[in-house]
Amino acid sequence: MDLIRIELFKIYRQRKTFYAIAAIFVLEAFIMVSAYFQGREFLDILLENLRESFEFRGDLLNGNLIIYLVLNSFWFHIPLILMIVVSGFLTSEYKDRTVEAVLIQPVSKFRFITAKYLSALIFTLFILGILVISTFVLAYTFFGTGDLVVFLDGLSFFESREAFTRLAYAFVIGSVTMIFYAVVSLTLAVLLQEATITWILAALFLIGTTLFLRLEFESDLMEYYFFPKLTDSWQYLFYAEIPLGVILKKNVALLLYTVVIGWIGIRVFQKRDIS
Amino acid sequence: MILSAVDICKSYGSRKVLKEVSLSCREGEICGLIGPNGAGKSTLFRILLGLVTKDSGTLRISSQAPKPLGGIIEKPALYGYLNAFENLKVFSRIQGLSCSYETYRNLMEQVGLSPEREDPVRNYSMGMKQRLGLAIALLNAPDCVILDEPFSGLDPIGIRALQEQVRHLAREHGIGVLISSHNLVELGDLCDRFFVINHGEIVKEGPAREILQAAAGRYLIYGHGLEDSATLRLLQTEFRKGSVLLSPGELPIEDILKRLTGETEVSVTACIPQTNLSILFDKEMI
Amino acid sequence: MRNRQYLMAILLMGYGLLAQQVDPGLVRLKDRLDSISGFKASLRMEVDISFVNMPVKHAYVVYEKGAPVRITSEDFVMIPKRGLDLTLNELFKYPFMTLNLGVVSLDGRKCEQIKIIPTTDDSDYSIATLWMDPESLQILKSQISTKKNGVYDIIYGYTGPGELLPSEIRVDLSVSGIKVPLRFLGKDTRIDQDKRKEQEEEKGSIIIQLTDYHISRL
Repeated sequence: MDLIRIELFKIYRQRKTFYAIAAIFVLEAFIMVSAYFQGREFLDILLENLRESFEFRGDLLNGNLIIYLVLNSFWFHIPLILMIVVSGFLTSEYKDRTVEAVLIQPVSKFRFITAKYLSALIFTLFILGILVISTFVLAYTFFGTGDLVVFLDGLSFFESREAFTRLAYAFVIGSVTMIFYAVVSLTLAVLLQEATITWILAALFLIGTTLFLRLEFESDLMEYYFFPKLTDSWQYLFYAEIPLGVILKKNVALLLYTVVIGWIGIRVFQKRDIS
Repeated sequence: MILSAVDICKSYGSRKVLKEVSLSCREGEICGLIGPNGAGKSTLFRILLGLVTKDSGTLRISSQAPKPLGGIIEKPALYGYLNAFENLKVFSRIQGLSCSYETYRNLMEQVGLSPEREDPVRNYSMGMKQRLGLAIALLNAPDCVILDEPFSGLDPIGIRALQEQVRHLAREHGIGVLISSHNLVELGDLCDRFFVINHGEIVKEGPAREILQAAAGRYLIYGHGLEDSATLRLLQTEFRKGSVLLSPGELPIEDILKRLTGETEVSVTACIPQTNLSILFDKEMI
Repeated sequence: MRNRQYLMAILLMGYGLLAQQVDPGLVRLKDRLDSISGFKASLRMEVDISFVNMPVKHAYVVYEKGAPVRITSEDFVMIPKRGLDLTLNELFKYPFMTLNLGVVSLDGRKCEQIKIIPTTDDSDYSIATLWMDPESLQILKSQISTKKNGVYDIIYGYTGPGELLPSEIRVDLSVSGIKVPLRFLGKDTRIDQDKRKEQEEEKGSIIIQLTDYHISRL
């Protein structure tokens, strides 16, 4: 626990942590503003044909829709920043040679690197937590509450309370994906050690995952076990009938990937000389 | 014997970096490891400190302390965004050590750092960073401290101060010190024993004075009236302003100095051996 | 020759006179509905369109004679453009003529089928058909062909034969397929192009239950 506390202390004391947090919030603000303007267009297109037969009461361009549109944008920009920041927790120690200085002390490599992973997870969840809270607070403050409309397996309307619950759970599910990316970035840092190369590969990994996500595979094996297809299971929460089994399956598989990739990073770090 | 390394071998691919290297260090002893750049000093110290795994050989550390060995490899690695106090706190907590503010304060004073300074360590001079590095190495009271090239980047005052620190650690606290450098001047007066390493092999070991004497090719003698010395006229000399560079040949330097001090017109103020590096780094033929 | 022309004119006028006559049964119904000066009711609305998943919605309807029907709700609701005109003011607003097509059976009930044809171009519908129970003076079904919004089939349900206003309305309508804003789609959304083509024009309905009536009469 001491090691984790020390890692968190080091994260807290570095200026770049706050730059990263500020960048994430600036990004969030941009996304929210653009979501508002896009939201009107989104609704106009989506409901155009229904308008021929129905009149609408109530405004669908509300906080819940903004949060939903923000949610859709989150899963590239935020992981990108997170991967750069999290990998930096280790690459900066390689660069400053503090890895050596730490391992000269009576602390095992296993404990050191495990503490790095765990503190990276805590940091990731912390960032996600404040992002979620700020998104909800800002969206509801400026745009109010109301029904949420999404188009996935049909045009689905969710009442405000239900929309809030689904959105909240979507972030919870999405946090599994964020944890996966954080662990991948730290493992890349273990393997590559140098900051710039790690950033490049982390970005490549994220881009590749996003591209693979959009590919259609006929096979269930790929659908349920190929890791890029596991990173957006939060979407299922907006189906009319939530396929809980599918969500669980995909997230368990993703967690397994996370554990394996983390384990690889730990083993490589243990085996490697510090030179 | 606090530390004993026997027949340590290490290769990187086909390149043999260390070939059956053996060295040791006792409590309160200052051992110097001298060698040119690339001789394998840092690799050996990394193996001793557990950062690099050896291919073969044995390493024995006779200490019951929770932290038997402390050390600095090359320049001290510190968290530049933390101040000295915070660095000490981080490194002590990492090893499960919980110290009071007083303990840190005393430690900083012991190595000559001001406890009142609160700015981040990135603002420190190299000398101050070395002191802080030493303070960190001394956390948890190790029985032996390994210092790899601790004088690099220091000015003469800094070198002198660090030498005093090292001497103090060994003499007053009984800590064994293993210290490396490629610069004899820094180690000459400090060490009790020398290990000379070249091309990954220990080529010489023994009392520091004997090693230096055996490798002394010439002597630089300072004094007055040296140009008129009859003794010097018979020897191979190179006169400079206020000094003479002397190759003693078959004659022991002690005899030469005796003769010089016997001459009334001549006064000798200093005699500095000039180490012949090729003799120093050559392997001893057994 | 001239006699024949006169005869044709008289016959046409007679036919016109006959057509312009508003069906007496409809007049009785209209008078009955006109006696309502206002009403309020709670609505429970259920949308039944294949590509729309909407939970049951609750709203409130307020009608005052001379003013359009007002629907209020705390949630987002979709109100069919036709169907909540329970006093048929929207149909009777414009000059019209009726055509009684006789007695038909609707779900086992005898009712009169009456066509309502607006005689002005200002109306927003081209023709409407009512199925009316002449004894209880209740509209059981209506079909309204609007000029811009397609055809609405509305079925009315009542709690009893004496009830003035329906307790349930089912509005059947046609809805064009969803226009999909591709830019905003979630990552996992699949667009089945063939299915989309089939869904160009989709039938759907909305079922509205009316309860807690407060009716004011003249």
